[in-house]
Amino acid sequence: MNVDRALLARLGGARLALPGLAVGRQAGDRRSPFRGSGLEFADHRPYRAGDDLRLVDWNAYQRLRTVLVRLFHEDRNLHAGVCVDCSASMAVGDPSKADHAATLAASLALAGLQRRDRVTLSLAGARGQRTRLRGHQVAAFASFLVALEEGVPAGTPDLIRSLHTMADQGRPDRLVLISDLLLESTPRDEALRALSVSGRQPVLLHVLDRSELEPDLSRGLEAVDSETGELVRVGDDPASAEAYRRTLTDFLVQVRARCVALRITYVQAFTTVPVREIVLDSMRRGRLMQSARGGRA
Amino acid sequence: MSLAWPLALVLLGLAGPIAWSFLARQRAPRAVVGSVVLLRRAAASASARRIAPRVREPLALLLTLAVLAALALALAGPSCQDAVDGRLIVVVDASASMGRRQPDGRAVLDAQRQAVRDQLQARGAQGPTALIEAREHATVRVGLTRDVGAVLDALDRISPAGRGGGVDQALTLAAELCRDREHDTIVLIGDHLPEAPDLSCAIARLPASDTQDNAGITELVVRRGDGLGLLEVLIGVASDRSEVLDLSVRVDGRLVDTARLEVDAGEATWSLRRLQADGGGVDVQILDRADAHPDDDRAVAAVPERVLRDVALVTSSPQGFLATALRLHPGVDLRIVDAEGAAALRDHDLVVLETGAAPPAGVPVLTFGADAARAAGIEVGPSASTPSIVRWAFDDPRFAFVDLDDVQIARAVSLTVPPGGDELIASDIGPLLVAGRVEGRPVTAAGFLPTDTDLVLRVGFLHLIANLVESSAPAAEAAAASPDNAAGRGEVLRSSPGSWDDVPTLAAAGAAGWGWSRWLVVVALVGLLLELVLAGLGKMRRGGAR
Repeated sequence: MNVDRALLARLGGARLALPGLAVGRQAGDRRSPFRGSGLEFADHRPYRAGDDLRLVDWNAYQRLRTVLVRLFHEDRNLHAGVCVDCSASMAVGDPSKADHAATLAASLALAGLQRRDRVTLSLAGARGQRTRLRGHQVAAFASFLVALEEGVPAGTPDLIRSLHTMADQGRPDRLVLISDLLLESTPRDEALRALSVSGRQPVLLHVLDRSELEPDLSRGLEAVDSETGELVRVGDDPASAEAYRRTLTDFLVQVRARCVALRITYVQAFTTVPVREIVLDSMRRGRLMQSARGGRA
Repeated sequence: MSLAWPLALVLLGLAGPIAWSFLARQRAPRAVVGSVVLLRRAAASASARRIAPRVREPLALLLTLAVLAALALALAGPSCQDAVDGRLIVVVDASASMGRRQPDGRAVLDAQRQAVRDQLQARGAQGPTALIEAREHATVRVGLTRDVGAVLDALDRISPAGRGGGVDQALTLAAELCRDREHDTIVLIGDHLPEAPDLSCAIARLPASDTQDNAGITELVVRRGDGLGLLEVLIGVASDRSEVLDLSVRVDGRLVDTARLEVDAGEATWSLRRLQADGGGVDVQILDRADAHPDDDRAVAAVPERVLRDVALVTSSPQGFLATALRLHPGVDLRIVDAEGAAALRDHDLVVLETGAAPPAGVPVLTFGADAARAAGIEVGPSASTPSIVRWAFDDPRFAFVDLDDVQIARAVSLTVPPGGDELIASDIGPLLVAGRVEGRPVTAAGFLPTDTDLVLRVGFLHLIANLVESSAPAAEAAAASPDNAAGRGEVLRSSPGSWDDVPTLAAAGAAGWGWSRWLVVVALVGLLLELVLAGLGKMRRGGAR
């Protein structure tokens, strides 16, 4: 897979957005549900033996004659999981959906690692030396890039298993699935369910190619499935084109409706739209990416 | 025009690429897609409604090919005859009458030739074609060939001139070239149509277009009326309408006579003119008559050449009436001898005996008087005074311009008619003038001497002597010259189709073929319309789908 590195150079001011609280294990700059050492006052509690005397609120003691200890919001880092569907179906298109997805994944990883977020990358179904990586520093990004560029989309991955695996060591705050979801309705629904339960704030980056959005059926088509080798003949008559348009619309509507039902943030990441526009516009409006300095990234 | 015509070939040639592009287009491209989930569902959804579109494309191809084929065939102009590869024999009447001008200024032959050209070009090389030219006799100009160009070239080289009359012979030749009535056709170009012949194949004639009124000289015969330079000129004229025609008659360029003839429409009128001329040519011309065919308004005939005969007269009166009459004859080279010199006569065309002397053997003899007749071998009867002529062969050429009524004969002897001979003058005492063969030579004998009659005092005597000389020693050459009419003898006036009304014209015969073409054009137009409808429906469906 190819990663657009030129785009990555423009993501220095971007960070992953998280609408809720972070539950990362390490200290970071994101509000967490935990109380601890932080800068923002959260609450008081009675002093207990062993508490740090520096946390005693002497003003409150002076007014209330009760020793109270100040509690602060503890800032943790973000745990982001990025699962890239590396099935053979992602290899089609120019640029291929896999390249598109790799660049998106690299963008998300970079945005997280450069803010010390914990990022887990899973290349589901890819042929490569490393299909699963973790990192929480920007130094790890190089290995992420290598893994992405060495990964080859092939086969029929088990998306459900990959998603569940990412939740083994705690559900990620952000779990992003980058996939075309060109599955039969049942496995597709199961994959979305897995995404929903495997991450606290799941996101689906739906990748489709132009050849899938607007296929050229003017001369008919003998379509060979890249994963199963199944052959399907489509006529060049208007009825076939109309049927495909209707089927595609139903498919997109069903995926979106299912994401809404499962509280999955749905973001269209079609290859017809440049990655830069997706990252800086669609992801920002989808509250998946934000500027580290506020405003636009 | 034919299928070998370039545009027809191009149209037919387009059929191949169109069919190939259709088949290539029908073969849907094969491509590897990410997943066939959506495509399978779409194909299953569309298959229920794909019956009509499935047949639309092949139908469109068939329609396109049908349109091309129909247009090509329509351009090629096929006909029923063409379809069976039949023979076409073109008979062209090339007589001068075919040069008549139509109201549009074109000659009849040119107009009909153009129609045949069109038909031949439309027919192309489908079946052999032959060309027969009919003038006075029929001539096969081009035998059966598929080389239409050769036929057209030969057709172009035909120009109207001379007499007609060979159409019957040409049709007979054409019939010999035909195989059967169903497939072969004879096309006749001509204005002179004979009685419908019984031929073995179909005949088509070109419709005779209307022409201007025409009057022409149909006959011109010139002959010498006598031995004295009299010419008899027989003139025949005819016209399409009743009128009075004025004619001028010139001999050697000199106007010698004029004639005014009343002519009934379609009927020929003759006039016999007697002219005094000696050699040259007779030129007869219709005056002040502008008509369709000026060529037949004038006719020229040559006067038969005068033949000089070597005549010997045996007489005792070299200055007598008989010697004078012979001397006056312009066609006689006269030698006068007495009875003693008769024995020396040799190689004369005629020996005239007025005295008793033995004529040379084998030479025609004309005798006057009993002694001369006896010398020529004619038996002589008793002499009689003032015999009366009771009968004479007034219609015999020897009595042309001679009237024997009231002729007085002082003395005469009756003669015996030679075996197989003729009695020319009969009298109450017996034959006075006989003719026949005696001893192997022609003998004409009179039972009287010219001086014993008052005939010598009449102009008829000169005619009688001249006629007898002509009859006894006829010229080797025919008396009448052949008339020479540039328009041919009367052909110009025989433009009536006669009994050929039931014979279809060429246009009518070709109507079946062009009917095919018209149907093909209709098929092509219907095909194009269906194509447009199909294309429109397809666009409507696509538009509605969007």
